[in-house]
Amino acid sequence: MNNDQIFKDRARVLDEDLAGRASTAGADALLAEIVSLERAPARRRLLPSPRRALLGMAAVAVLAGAIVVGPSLFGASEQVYASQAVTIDRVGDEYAFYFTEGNPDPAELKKAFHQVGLDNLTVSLVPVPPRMPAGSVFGFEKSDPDARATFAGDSCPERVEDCITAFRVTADIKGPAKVSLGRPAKPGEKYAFPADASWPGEALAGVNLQGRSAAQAADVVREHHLKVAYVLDWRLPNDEKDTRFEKDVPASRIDPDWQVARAESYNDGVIVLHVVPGPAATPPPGF
Amino acid sequence: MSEQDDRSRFEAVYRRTYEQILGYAVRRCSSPEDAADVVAETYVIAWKRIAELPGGEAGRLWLYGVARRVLANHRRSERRRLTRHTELTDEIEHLYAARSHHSEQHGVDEAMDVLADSDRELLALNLWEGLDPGEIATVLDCSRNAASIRLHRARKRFAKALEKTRPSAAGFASRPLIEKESG
Repeated sequence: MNNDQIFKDRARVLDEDLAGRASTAGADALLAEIVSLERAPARRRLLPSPRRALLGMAAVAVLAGAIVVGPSLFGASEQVYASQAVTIDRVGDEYAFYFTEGNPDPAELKKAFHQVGLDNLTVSLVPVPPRMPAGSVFGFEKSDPDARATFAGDSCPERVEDCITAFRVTADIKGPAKVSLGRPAKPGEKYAFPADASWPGEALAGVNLQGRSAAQAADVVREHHLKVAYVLDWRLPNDEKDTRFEKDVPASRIDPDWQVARAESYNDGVIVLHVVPGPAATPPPGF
Repeated sequence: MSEQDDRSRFEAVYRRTYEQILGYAVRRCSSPEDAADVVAETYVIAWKRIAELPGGEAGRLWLYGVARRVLANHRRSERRRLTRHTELTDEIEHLYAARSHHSEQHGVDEAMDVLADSDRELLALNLWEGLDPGEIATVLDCSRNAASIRLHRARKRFAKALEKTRPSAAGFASRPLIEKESG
């Protein structure tokens, strides 16, 4: 029996076995329940306010809007924009952004920001390991000393259905600004920031390589049909005992007996082993 | 588009794709309750985004993509079950009980467990859902070329895993650290 058939046989059920189930009582009940749900296009939730006219938003463009599930949690606030990708509230002197798409069309975002007067803002959503706490990747670069941005992930799902991540930013930022946010990577998507490879759901879930020799660790990685890359963790002799990381070190420079400090995964089939050089090793220039 | 048009359109898509989305969920979820949740949540999202839902065959692939993300979300976090879809769950339970006409193949489950989730999902989309690389690319939101290459690699890894977990496997000597393996 060939391997394809072997795999196929492990299916709990095949679609052919399910013929006719689309008309069962259970399927009917689910359908009835779903179509009774309000789809609530966002425009019905806007609070009437003369300020909308001042913002030039007399007719808010709503494209199959993100589903609003609750009023803004910040007291005096109102929704000023909604699209498939992003919902925007005005909250006092800030804007709150709720993202429902991990890879929003940059042109669409630019348009959204333009509508609320934030032409200088760019936002980048980067994929991070699903287990990383929300808000652990959040960056804000700006030239305006008075501008501030805050991660607002807690209010995310309470405000907008299917919300992935959220942040708040000063409304009248001067000069260019950029917000980087982590969002949970989709299955199979490469991470912008690494996971610990032993985390549940990661490539070496439950496998602890810390303390093993580089040679042993590399064998374990290959047994899992993954590739190995090396980083050297140089512990600097200064008072703070900083560590400097030397990346992309070829295997020829790794002594098989050196110890592994940790193993990282970017979810791309490669395990990055952080190896601690032995006492006799000399760091490269600049370290 | 009127509310009634949306409803008719949604019902048509629901009836046409229900068995396949049910199959997708049942094959991947370890309990009938989880499978019912995945099916329900997938179609709730489809209903709320009916304007986005493509027509025809592309609609089915879109739904697989949604089901996939729903399943990933469920696995990532402790989910509060919002409603119990009791009738649906009962119907699905029979599918879990009736499983055993496949003869137990020693070592196959172990080989499948060894596979990375993404490898297993690629093989599943190809062999269980019957999707070709172009269709897989749509579901995974990648290029057809990437899907094709990854599927090929997944097949090889499965073959290797089978060699190791089944009695006829040859032993593998450990390899020395010789060269850097590029990513």
